Amino acid sequence: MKRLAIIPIAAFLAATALAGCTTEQGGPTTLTFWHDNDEAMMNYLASAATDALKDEGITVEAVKKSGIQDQIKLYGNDSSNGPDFFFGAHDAIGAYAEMGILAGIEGYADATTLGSFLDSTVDAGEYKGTKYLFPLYAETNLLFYNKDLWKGEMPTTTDGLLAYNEARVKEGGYGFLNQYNDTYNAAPWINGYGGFVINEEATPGISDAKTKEGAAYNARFAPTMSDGTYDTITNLFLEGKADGILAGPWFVSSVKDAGIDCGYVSLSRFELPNGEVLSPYEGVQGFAVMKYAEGKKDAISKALKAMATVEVATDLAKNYNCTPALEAASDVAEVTSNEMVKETQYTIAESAVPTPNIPEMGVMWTPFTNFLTAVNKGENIDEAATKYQADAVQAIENMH
Amino acid sequence: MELRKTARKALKFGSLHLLFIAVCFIALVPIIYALAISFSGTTNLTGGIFAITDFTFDNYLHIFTELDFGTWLGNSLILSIATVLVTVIPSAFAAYAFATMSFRGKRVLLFLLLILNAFPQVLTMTALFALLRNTHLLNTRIALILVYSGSNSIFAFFNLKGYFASIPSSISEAATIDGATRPEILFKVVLPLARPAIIVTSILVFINCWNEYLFASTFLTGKDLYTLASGLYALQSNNLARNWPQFAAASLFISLPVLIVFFLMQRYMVSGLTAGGVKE
Amino acid sequence: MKGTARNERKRRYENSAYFYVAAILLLVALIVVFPIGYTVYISLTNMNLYHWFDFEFIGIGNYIRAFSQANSEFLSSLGLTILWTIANMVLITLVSLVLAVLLNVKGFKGRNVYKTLLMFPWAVPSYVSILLWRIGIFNGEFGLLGDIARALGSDSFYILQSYWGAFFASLLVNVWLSYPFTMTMMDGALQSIDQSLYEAARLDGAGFWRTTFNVSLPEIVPIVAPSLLMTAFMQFKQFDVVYLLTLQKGAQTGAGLQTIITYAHTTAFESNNYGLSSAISTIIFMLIALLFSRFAYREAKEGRN
Repeated sequence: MKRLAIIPIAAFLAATALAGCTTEQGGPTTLTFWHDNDEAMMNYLASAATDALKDEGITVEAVKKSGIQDQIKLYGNDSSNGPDFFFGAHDAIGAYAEMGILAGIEGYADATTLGSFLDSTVDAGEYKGTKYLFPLYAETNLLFYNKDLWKGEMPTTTDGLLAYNEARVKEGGYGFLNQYNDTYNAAPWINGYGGFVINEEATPGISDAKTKEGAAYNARFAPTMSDGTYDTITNLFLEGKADGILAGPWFVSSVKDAGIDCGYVSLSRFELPNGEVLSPYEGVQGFAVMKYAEGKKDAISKALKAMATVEVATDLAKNYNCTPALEAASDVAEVTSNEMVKETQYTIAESAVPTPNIPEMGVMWTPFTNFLTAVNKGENIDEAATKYQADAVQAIENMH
Repeated sequence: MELRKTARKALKFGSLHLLFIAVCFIALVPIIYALAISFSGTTNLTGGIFAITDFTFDNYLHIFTELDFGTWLGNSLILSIATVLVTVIPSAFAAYAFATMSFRGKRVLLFLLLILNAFPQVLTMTALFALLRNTHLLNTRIALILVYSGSNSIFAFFNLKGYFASIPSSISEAATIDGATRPEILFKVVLPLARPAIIVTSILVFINCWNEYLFASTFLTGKDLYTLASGLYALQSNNLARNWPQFAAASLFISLPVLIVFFLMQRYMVSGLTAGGVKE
Repeated sequence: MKGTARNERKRRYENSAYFYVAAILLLVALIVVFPIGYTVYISLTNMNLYHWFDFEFIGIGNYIRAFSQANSEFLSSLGLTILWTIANMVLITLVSLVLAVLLNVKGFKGRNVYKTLLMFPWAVPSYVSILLWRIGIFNGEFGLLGDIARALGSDSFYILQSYWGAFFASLLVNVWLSYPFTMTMMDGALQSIDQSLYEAARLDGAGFWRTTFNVSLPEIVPIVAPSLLMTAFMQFKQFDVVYLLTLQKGAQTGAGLQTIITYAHTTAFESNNYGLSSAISTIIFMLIALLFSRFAYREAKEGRN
């Protein structure tokens, strides 16, 4: 009896296993894009495009892919399983372009459409003279502060912030927190001092004198910022144990869920001891099209265009705090009344630096973070800089 | 006399129980921690390790209402059960041959299998991808079943071989004299005797598949093919807005089937040797 | 005449053995051997970001490069990996053995419940439990260790920031993750011991300890030895624990703890140079094969029994 029962089970398994290989649709066009972003926001984008293109029989689907960068590399040449296009940050563009898996965006968006975006957002997606990114919004780190906890006026200098932090720690609390070991989050200090992670010639900037100055100044904040890891600092802030935190638009929904009355201040509003202001990295988020999707060129162009309307940009700003790349949406009242968007726009205008999009940037995160960690732990800064500069040079060499 | 014996026995088992309760508690600290969080209505990690803040069942309800847990559960079950079959059957055959027969190349094969198993499988991701792509198996369950079976089979084989070898050869010899053929010996003598080993091995393989997320999220790109582990991985990797209570609830929920299977299987795991009534 | 007949019989007999092992060999060839072969092939090419699809054969250049980069850091990570493997194996074996033996005390009721509870660490996907340890136990602000440190009057205690602190924390987590498997194996092996051996020992007047050392241990060693050997492999190539506790993006603690796999990961694999990283993978594999071949050979030889 028992043995007989195995047969239907096995048959069932074989059948369901086979059913796993669903194939492409027929008839009307379905476009799929991958993303590793807020699902609600991405589904909103997909449905906005689908609604606009209902009459043309074009459906747009958003699929969440965790670890999207590795997945794009694997599936970049696989038209039957890969996406038609994907949503991501501009700084990965260079690597994909070198791999030869992306189509130039100019084939999918005419000059007028591309001209309707802020120049800086289109330029951020340009690599070796070709534009690859269809930009939707820009983001930078801001100082988030808990309005119920923050004591007194917001300082206007970084020394003021440091003093605030030290005073709060003495009282047994926390001022503002940052992932001080992390390259992206320490970048405002490094860039503000005129240092750099990597320059356009792909030379690492770890041993640059100004980078060292910035890192040394960043290290002075470390003792006031707990262990500086993501989980620790976000939970301290969300649970009302810290007055402020360095974060970006991606963190807003958590802040709202936690019921925090939160204010946002542009990092460009804090003056460094050298007279400059903090200058965070600017990221541009947008679509890039796979080279193999050429057969669907018409549909993809239409879908992209449908997502680049003032209406969509306004909704993204209103509901997801996205700073529009679309110029016409930049001064819509509903957009500028969003404090976060306003402060991000200010940062971009004042001091933000686009994250480098050359492929070599991809191997800089680890050595640079190691360098910051060593400095923050109190190791000799010159020795650390020499060591990790060599690591970075080696890492870049290893790419070829 | 009897009374003293009973008292000594009670003391012995009593202290054993105490010891195991203590050990279980220590071993389960991270789990109890997750349990407390999963019943919390508000995230309050700073509130102390086992604190439950605003007790609620919502996090558990949420995994069914807002996530596609039903589909994920089904996928995990299909993949894991199929993998167990595709792994354990060939492994048992091979283990039988290696444990009871001698043939040319046996030692070399054993050595190679052991060494091959040492290769870190994460490093072969690209190669497997190339293989599956060229065989048009990407995005199918068959692909994952094959990958899981291949990566678990050496391990299952060695597990079973150890047990098979411990079955006294006199038993098979007796059966041979009785006129049994090799397949008959395997199915009627060896496999029933090795039942605990087969169950243990099946459970081990089952758990390995159940909790695997890297291959699952790489080789299956369709959302309807998510498994519990890969779905949960996608959920937590979105750590920009991590919801600890829901994450904890989901984590504990996906571990539950494993524990249930394990608990139910225990009674089949008694020694096949004595159950078979073979004593020398 | 007689000799040929015997040879013929022997051949038929061998062929039937090959029939039994064919299926597993096919599976292993496809899923284990092919990828290794492919990795070796890629290691001889220049497949990298700039030659993603149009890569070509370049000989042993990648190996020369990999060896030229085998500096003191690589060697210290190798040393640490060996220490890590030994420490883990000692602890895992001890913990599992003690638990399995105690679970098998004759007449002990409740073993199934305890065994199931003790299986829990294994039932949770490892990335989840490592995260739970990181947040719930090791976190200096709101983890158990932080709480204890503060209760003892010390400042917040960040165990994952120091080299040896991170080592012991990783060791603890890894033993926790690994003991359920070995415990189950040993428990299964203990269960399969012929009860008559215990009866004989009892008749000889042996107590619990003597039975354990003279009957249980010698009986289970051959059964569990292969799985222990494979557990040792697993510790050697362990990646998740050290990486997720101290190196994950956004959670780098600066402990500087590197095993050869994490070292290879951070130095080579991030480069997207598949040729070079395949060469390093191959070297690591060779290294493992070399270090473990003695044990594997002995195991294979004893597999004759």
